[in-house]
Amino acid sequence: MKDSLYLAWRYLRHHEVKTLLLVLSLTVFLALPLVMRSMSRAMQQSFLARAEGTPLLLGQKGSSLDLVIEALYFQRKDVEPVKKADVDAIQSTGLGMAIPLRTGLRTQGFPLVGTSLAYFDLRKLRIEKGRGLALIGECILGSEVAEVLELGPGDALLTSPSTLFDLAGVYPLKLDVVGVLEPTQGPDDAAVFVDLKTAWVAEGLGHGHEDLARADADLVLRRQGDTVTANAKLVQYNEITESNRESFHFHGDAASYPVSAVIVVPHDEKSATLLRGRFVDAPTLQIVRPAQVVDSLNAQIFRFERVLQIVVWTVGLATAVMFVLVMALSWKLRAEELRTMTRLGSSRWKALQIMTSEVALMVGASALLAGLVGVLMARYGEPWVQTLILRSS
Amino acid sequence: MISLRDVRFTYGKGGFSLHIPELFVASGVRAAAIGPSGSGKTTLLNLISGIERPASGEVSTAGARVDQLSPSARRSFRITNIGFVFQQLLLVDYLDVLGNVLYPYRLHSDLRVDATVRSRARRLAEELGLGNLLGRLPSELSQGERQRVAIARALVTEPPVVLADEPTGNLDPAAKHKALDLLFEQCDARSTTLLMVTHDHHLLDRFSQVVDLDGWGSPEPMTP
Amino acid sequence: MKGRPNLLSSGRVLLSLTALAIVACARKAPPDVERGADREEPFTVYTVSYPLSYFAERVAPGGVQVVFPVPEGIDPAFWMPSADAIQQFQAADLILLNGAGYARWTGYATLPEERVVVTADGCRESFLRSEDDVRHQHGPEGTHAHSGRAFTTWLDFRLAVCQASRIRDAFVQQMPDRKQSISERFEALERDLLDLDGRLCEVSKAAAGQRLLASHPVYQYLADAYGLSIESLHLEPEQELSQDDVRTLDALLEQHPAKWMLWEGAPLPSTQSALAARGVNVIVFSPAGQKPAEGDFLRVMRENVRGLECATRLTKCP
Repeated sequence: MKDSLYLAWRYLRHHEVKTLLLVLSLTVFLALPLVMRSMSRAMQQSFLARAEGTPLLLGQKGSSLDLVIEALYFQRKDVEPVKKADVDAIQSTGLGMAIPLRTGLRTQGFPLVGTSLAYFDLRKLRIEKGRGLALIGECILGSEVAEVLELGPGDALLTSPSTLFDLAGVYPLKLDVVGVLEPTQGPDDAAVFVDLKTAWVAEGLGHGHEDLARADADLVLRRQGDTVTANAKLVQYNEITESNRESFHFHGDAASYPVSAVIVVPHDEKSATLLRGRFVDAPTLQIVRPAQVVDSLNAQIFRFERVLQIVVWTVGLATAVMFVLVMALSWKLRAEELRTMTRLGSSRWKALQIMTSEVALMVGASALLAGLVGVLMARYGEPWVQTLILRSS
Repeated sequence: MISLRDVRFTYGKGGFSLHIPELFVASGVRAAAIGPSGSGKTTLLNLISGIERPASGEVSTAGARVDQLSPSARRSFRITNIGFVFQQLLLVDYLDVLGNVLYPYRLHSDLRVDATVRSRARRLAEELGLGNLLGRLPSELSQGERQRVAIARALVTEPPVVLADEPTGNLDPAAKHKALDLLFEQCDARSTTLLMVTHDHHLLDRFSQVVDLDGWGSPEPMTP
Repeated sequence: MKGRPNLLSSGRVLLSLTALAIVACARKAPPDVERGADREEPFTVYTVSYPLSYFAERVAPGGVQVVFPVPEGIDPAFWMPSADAIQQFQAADLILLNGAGYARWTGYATLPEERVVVTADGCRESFLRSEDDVRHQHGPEGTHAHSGRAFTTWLDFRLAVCQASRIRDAFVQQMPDRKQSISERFEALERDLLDLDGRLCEVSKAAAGQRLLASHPVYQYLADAYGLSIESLHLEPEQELSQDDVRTLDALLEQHPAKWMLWEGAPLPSTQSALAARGVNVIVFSPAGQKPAEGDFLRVMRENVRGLECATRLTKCP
């Protein structure tokens, strides 16, 4: 048997391209179910972990899945916003903490998320470079954003012009980068975080301009009593700086300002139940448990996975058939070698032994590679899948 | 020693048939078997080596009644007692020179590659001028070098009999003689019985015995 | 070996490349860290004004550290803290804001809302307007004002009690097991503030019809709560009166003849002389937005009230 293995090994070495291709195709056949299972499990765990880290989510009535995806993964689903007053209302119940999220804006291809400081504590986000948010006009970058855009504390970032909230368009706002977060292998790595008020300024709900009480005459259209009407020359700032920060303001009642979703962190289970109970019959609002929403999503993924597995096994079977065909054709082409062996006096089963050894070596190598892939997927699958989800979103 | 008496053989039903009334080659003799194409030269070698079994008659090779051996016994006998040099050489393209020389040892459990065998193979290769080419593949060798590898392979098991089936068929005259020189030198040194099948009459002078197969073979079945 | 394909090393390369490709895409598992370590430090309260700081100190039980970080000499209403200072606020267990637009920096700073108490919110239906207010219009939004609100709410002592009660409620929520102690301390402060309120109500009765001037428009809540008729200028106690100041003063006295003028701090002797020449006496009524050089909020307010009592002849003037 040792000699058969030797001859098989030498043959495979000599025809390395064919051997590599066969080994790779077998590896794919063996590893694909492992990878699929691992990826599916990683995706499910990733979704679930993120969802379980978000106790309750308040939003406008509508698709709970869209709400969860927009709030947890910052993928624009154009959910109708609630009001800041709803955030305050939750907070004032004393049953839990309300963390507002304003999503929908982008900056340099990444989602811009307006929120409060409590969000960073909830997600256990730590500053790797620089500091946290302190003033409007500042932003903190996820690690992925900082890496891709090559930005850090002290740099600036422009929001993307948006017609999402205003058909007339919103001018880009220049943000000061004050910090970069540590990597978390989650959606937060690929987001830019700002104070909720900064998000409102970025979408055009707040602005800053020269002080009209002390404005030059050429900026004034009309004065009537203590009311001044400015003309179009009045400059509105698209950058919040130390010198103009005080001029930034919001019109109207801030309580009516939009908030895409509210993460609610109840103090305890009883508070959670009470909170959910308050919104059961709410006409325009819904409060959902993201973990429940994601569970049903995972169930769908699981069903889809079963179908995929059938496909994978079918493909695998075809691969195996192709493999056998290639081996058979290969031996047919080696007929002369077989005749030589016979003429020289090889033992009766020698050819079969060599053939079996070739197959065994290739299958062994494939199994080894597939096993390695399986081990690596088990160890690193989840963060890799999360990176894949992040990059594809 | 090679001995055949009243040996009859037919391929399949109604195929080529061969009748060898008598053939004897003494030990250590260089013999040539000559005949036109289709005269049964390869069949003769197959009968001597036990690849084929006669329908009747006696075949003795190196002191063994090959016609009476079982198929596995014939294989075992062949691998240890017969060395082959084929017309097409039939080297293994994925083994290097040393691997090809040692090839017979890989094919049967009766033979085992060990340090002694390796040493013998290397020595044989060196004698044939292949000492610096042990790691080369057949595709990297000249025709003459491949010829020498084939000869080394035939002799590595130290067989008492070497059967050569038109080994110089593809060579030019000068190369033929050179190849024969090598073969004869090695066989003579080992007192190996050499039976070479050829259709080239110009070579016959170099053999001490010539067997003419003309008329032994027939495309029709022989009548008993 | 010349020209011979080396599958063994190719196989090793394949394995290595496969492993590298997968590892390169992979990352280490996310760190399991908390954003703020558990602390054994005292419960910290940050305030934006001295009055709130005083109220918090009066109401807080032991083990509470009240911090009023505005540097000496800086008006807390217009203080612009650095990012570091804001981050100190962020780290506090409780942040007390005044409301009514006081401390404008809070409008553009990032503070943890769940730990912020805007003490004056809900204590009045609406806040008073400041005479500084300029309504203006640009673009399609219509007229609006930016700052516009008077913010020295604590000079209405009933409003001050309301603010202190919000502070009490915040402490009780954080330290429910010390509710009794907190309530008792609040009630003591309430008594002090209501005493001041009572005295000013008497002043209000005595001052009916009397007009007062003020060096700065910071007494809106005092005037509103206690029915005082106060017209304000923009004068600094430590600055000489300019010609314009005098002209403005004279014009105002013509329309609003007053015998008393409230000053945030004692004006220069020359200013006092100028006022005396016009029959106007000085009452120092410090809003105490900043920590006083001597004494505390209560002492300053008692002196303030005594000044008004003197002006309305409720007490003998010193």
